[in-house]
Amino acid sequence: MRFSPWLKTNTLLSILLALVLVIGIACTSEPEAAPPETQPPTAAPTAMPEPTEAMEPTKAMMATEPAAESESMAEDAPVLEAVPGKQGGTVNMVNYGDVELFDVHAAGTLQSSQFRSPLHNQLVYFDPTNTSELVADLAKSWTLADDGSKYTFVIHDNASWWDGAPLTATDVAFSINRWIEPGEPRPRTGLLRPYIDRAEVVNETTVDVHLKYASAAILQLMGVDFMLILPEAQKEQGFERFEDVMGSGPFKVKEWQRGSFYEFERNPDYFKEGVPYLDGYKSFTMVDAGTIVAGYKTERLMMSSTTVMNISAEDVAELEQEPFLAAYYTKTATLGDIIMNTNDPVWSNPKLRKALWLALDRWEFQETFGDGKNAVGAPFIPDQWYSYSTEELKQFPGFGGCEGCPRTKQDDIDDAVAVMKEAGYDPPSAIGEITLSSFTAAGFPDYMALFKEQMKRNLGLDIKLVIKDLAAVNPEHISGSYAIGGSGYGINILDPDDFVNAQFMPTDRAWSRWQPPPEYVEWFQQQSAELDLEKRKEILRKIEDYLLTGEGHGNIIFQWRPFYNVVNNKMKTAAGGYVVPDTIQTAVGSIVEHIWIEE
Amino acid sequence: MRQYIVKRILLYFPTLALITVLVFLLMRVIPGDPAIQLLAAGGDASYTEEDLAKKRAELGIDRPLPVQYVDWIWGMLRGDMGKALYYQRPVSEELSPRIPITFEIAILAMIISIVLAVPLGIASAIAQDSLFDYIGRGFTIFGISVPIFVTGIVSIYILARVFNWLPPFGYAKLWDAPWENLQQIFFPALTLAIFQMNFTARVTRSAMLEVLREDYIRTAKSKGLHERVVLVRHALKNALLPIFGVAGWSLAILLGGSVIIEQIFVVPGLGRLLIESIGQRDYNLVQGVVIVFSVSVLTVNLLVDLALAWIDPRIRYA
Repeated sequence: MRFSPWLKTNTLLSILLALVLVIGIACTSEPEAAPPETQPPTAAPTAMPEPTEAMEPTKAMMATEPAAESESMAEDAPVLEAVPGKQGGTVNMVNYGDVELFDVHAAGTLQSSQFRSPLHNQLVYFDPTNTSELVADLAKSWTLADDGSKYTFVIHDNASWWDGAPLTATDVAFSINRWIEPGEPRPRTGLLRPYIDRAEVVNETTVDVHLKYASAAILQLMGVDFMLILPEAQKEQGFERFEDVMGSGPFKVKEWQRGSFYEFERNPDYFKEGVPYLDGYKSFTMVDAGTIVAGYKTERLMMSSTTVMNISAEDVAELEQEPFLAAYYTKTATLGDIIMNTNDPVWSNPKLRKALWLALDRWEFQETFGDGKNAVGAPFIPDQWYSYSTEELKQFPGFGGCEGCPRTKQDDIDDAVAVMKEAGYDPPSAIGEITLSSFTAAGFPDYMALFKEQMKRNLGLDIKLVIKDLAAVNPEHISGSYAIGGSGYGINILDPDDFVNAQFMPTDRAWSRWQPPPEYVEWFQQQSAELDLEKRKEILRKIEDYLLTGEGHGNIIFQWRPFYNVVNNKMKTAAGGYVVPDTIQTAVGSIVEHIWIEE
Repeated sequence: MRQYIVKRILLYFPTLALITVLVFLLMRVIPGDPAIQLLAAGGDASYTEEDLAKKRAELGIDRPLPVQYVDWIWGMLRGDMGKALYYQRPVSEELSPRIPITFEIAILAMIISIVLAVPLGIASAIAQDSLFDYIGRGFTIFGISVPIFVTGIVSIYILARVFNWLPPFGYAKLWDAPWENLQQIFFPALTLAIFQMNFTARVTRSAMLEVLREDYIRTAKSKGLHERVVLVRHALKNALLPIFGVAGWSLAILLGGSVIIEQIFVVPGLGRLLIESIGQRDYNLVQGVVIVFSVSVLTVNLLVDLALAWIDPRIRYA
């Protein structure tokens, strides 16, 4: 069969182009994606810990106080009053990634909670005008039983679902029990499993939450954006599909287009008077930093839906130069770490893990990344009430080489070489090529490049970087088919229970499978149950000291960093301008409920 | 002619079939597993092997590859593109709002590129080896060398920095808000057109030069015909054939370019959907998008070839 030369060329080229397109895209890593956030719960502490200083306890949060005082607090449960005369307007926002799972209780990433949180209510949430404080949302009041065995929440009786059905105690009890449902994936809501036994309906507006033990952390965790109340009536059909989304919150879904944007409009039947202030907002998923920066500069974008954005610290610094924009930083509550597979035949050797711990030059990371806003990579967030200060950390092996450090980096390197020799690798490069897998998001290619360079320079190790999109890296990390990797985590609340649980326990982010010494697990449980703050601090110090030896555990945190939001100054709250949450996992819903645009 | 049409149409289907095989296999050989992606999407890695097996069975990706392929093709033949693995929505529902967006950009880009490129190519050919020709050729070589995403980023930069303006994000339907639609579509289309026009301009110049050297042009000139008549009636008419033929390629390039351009200009078209679905390893959706792209390109190529054969008998008798 003969065809015209043009026909053959044209057709073949078309096929070729189509294939190149597919192959090219398939082989290209996802440009931007979410930082990985995972969190299985760990062993339940058995007694009642005291509120922590990480979050200054408020009257509403003082869950461990005697009942009589709690009763009075219940009457005074802090509520945000609406500011009159501020309604109207729609704004454009940016988000870093589209919703991953619509079932927010089964979700662990901010992509899900940023979408669902403004559509729902929580019992309590973080005050958008003072984001270290908890205030009432659906709850009208709450009390703690004398013996600390249960919370009793009374909820508003005029809240309703979009279909007009009333939101009752049945929905609340159903949701709480679903947060802690055994055997189901609950990466964030499952944080309450150690504390909550079950929830029971008392009457239409009252719910008893039976506790395993009382803790100030319970209400803080209830304020995390994933702890949403979902309609019990939908339990049969499930919550996985977009079509199943049924809310009660300040906003309703107007439109969602996968991977592109979602548009919310004010819920006209919202039970709270006067809020939300905005008529609606549209949040665009944007991955190109240049477009985001341009969007802000031209006021096409007014703020980000969350404190995670696909722009660098340098971009933020540039935007801050504009008189009509301001950048707001969370606490240094997000970590970047090197994870080492403790099940891997090579990396199961704790000496190797210690060698990397020693050889890592944390101060170089400080100089290179974060523009001075990041905190040095220690196991605990430095300079907290429970942790070593940055100055104190300088004394420890692995932290050598800084100005004022008693140890030089060469001291650390010598120790690392000696440890590797003990492990049978003399010189260290005898270990051969090491494959490090990480993902494209959140600056990790740059972090990993520096780590690779440091390991080559300090130990002569050859590291092969394999940078892929999250979809490719996640399965490797989760299934344990990796040697070492680059990863990250955004903590939920500032209490150390949260991130120690996530990072440094046997059931930490599931892929490490680290087996710490028995006393270590006991320390964790003791501190969680300790009532006396000083005593708790002492126990936490034992944990931190152990982690600072670099012995055993499979995570090396190379830096703690804040996240940020860039906000147009026209966006106002009752506190004046935008108020940044402490962590990336809180106040997303409460902020959009209580923010307005002032032209 | 009839024989040619039959042959040409017969070639269409094996090509499409090959593309379906390739896209089906490619998605399954790249690292990543939609079942793990779904189970771990929330960041929870506590699922068991049983959970994973159950999820793979739910998604239908535990079946042998030939069975999956045949099932997909059989569905397509019945007009059912399957369900997107990630959100369990019909693929056709995901595609249908985006197809007009991407094609509006591509068609506008094609129009802009032809309007700019053809006069440039003709002028370059007429003034061969002049300063204008050198500048024109330099410009087109430069334009072909600069990747589309660079042009897109530079466009955004210029609009924001110089004019302190950006097109509105998103997409308003042409018949609902024509002015907003034009603002949103014009700049992505222009960016694509700038790339495409250089190619078209070079083809136009070459075709014109070739035709201008033909005997019948010399004859026309020697007959004393006016230069303009020679160019328009005799030269351009014949030179347009290869330019017309480029249209098939153009669509492929423009659709490919839309993947990047839609990201940069925040336009919710097929390109963005493709990137999103690849990131989620949503096999069915990726396959759906690629099939839409491929069918479009193949169909336009088919139509162009048939039209060329109709216009130029040499093709169908070759």
